[in-house]
Amino acid sequence: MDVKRWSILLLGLTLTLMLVGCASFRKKGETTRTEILAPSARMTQSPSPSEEPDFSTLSFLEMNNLYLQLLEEKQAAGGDTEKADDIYLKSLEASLAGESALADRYLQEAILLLGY
Amino acid sequence: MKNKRLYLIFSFALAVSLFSAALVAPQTAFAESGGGTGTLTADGDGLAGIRGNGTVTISGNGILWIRDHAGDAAITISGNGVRDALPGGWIRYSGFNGSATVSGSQITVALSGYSIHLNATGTGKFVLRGNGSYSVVKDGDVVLTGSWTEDAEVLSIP
Repeated sequence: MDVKRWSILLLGLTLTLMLVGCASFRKKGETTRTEILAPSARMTQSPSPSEEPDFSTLSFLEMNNLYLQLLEEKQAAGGDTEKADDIYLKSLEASLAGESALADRYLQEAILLLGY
Repeated sequence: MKNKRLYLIFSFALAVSLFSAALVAPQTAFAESGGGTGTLTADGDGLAGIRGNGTVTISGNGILWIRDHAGDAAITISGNGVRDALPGGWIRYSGFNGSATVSGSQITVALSGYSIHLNATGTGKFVLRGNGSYSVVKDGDVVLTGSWTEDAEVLSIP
């Protein structure tokens, strides 16, 4: 094969790699997202105290609202919420660190500590 | 023959240069777009948390947490809530219903509850869990928009 053919082949390969590289970086840089918002579920329905919570069926928002509701009820009744508060703070810190599974586990523990 | 060899070497060098430029150029552009400061605006229900350098104004109902890592924060609270200083430098306002403005070089502000409105200017990381929407503006342009998520996704300003 002569030199010209090699050169053209090399340049063609380079251009292809450049295009692939640019496309992948553009994809990586795309951070704009638009999604249709789901209707806001402001508060979770009050659960029956005899029911064991099935956390797997609850969204984060529902669990969080459940915690806030139980906390409010226990505080109003003059109960001790310190342990639940501590665990909830751990859940918050885990959420801020992006550790969803850990955050949810602490949140569930906090709910149970409030005597659900 | 010598000319042919030179031509081949030149082509190879050009190819390598172009390829290197293709790899480096997008990274540089990405790094530049990540510099400076931005403004986050978010509204929703669930958990809104942010940490970084700048000024955060947050309002809503629920539990408010503030942490001043550098000891230089200016905190203004209006509304109702029971204040507790917790280990680890956290300040918590239980039964919070109002607004808080926090400025500092290393602050964390979070509100768990509903009707949350957050406005933050500076640089940092944020997490928005639940239902709601947000946008980040930098230099007058919206650079990021989206919805609050089920999982804790750590996003950056700007």
